[in-house]
Amino acid sequence: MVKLLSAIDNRKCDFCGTCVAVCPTDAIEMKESVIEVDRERCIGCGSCSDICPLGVPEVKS
Amino acid sequence: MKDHYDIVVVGGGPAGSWTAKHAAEKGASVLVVEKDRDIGLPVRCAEGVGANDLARAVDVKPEWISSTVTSLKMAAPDGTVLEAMPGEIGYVLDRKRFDAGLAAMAAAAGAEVRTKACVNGLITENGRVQGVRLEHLGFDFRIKAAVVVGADGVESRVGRWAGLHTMVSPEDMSTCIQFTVAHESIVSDTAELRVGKKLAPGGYLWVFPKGGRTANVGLGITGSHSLNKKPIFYLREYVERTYPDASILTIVAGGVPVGNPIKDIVSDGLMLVGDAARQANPLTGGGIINAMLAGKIAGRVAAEAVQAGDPSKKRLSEYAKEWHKLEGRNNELFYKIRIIVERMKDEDLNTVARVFGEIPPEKRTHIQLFKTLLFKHPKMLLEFGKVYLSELA
Repeated sequence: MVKLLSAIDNRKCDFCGTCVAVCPTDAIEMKESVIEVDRERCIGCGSCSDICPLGVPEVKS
Repeated sequence: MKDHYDIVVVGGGPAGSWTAKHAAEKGASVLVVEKDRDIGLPVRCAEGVGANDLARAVDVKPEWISSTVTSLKMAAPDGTVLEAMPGEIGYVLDRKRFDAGLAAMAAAAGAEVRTKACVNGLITENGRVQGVRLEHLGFDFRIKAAVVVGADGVESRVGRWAGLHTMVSPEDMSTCIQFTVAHESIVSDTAELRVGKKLAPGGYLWVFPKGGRTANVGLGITGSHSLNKKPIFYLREYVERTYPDASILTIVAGGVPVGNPIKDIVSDGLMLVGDAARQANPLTGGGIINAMLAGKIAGRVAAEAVQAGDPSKKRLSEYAKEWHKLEGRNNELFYKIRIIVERMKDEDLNTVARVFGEIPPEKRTHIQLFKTLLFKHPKMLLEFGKVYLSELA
């Protein structure tokens, strides 16, 4: 089975941190204007994608 | 910057500055670290507050106010417009200046403030929090503290690092978008709140004037309503329709936790304050005043705990208890009302607007609205009763 992962495009992101708060595995790290998804922790659940005001995160394999 | 403080506050917003100010006034040595370059930027807020509410937290300075609002209009889905709280005054803040002002007050009380200082972990010894790991201008620091205060906003990680359960489920997160719009039709003394499935399903849209024919126009909906259509698309449609050819001076996205209040906001050597502690009003999403009221308690309790040589969870729980008594328990009620309102159909919202119109203007508060609905619309009462009981269970 291919593991699903969230991908967040830094060019589209506003760095509001809403996805960080809903991530069940604490897999999203955000600094001043950099956001990264920890590939080991991400379980591809899609919460970040559901909640993003701009619809930036994409869950894909 | 020293390598040891009584209290390290992570985050330089209203929660952090107010905690720091009140701890420093009690004689504690305090460091405030803000990850961004400026205190108060980027502004991630609709900036509207009630004048009376703000006065509970701080003596207001004129330079913090962008606009004074004397009329709050609420619009139902069918277009019925009501004057929501006649006689009450609201402010639309200049959050950049406001936050900077609060940080300066914390500094004047003796706290040390640093920006571009990003905490990337906690120092933990023998199961209790003992300080923070910090990156500041490219250098790594280890700073010891008897108490670490997480005032690091909606994206807070401090609580999680300490093992507190602060994760917000998507249905308890209001996902928001806001444009600062410049348009000739905008009036500087009138704020608007609008509801309806087409505008902002399960949430609301706001217009808060910023002066000079500009306004913060934004909306928030919970995760249950944002699966297929994101807030940005709702707002674009509304702004294009309502303010044709308007300029958009700022775009900002953000999230507000609107779940049932969490009670575990302290641990050994650790406290959470403000959005990090999920303390915003779950019905309105307003968080500034609550953050400051909580910060005032947290700062005092932290300083006293340090002086007593006992920063234990038990000792710091005094803060959690006082907070719950002051506002936390109110938020439990606001949460229940939010659940009810969120499930209402447009026709129900129209009924509410009609009922609201029948309440004498001076009594138009959401609590009074709730009571009136329960008494005058027993059928709705039945529906609401089910929701209410299911939430209690």
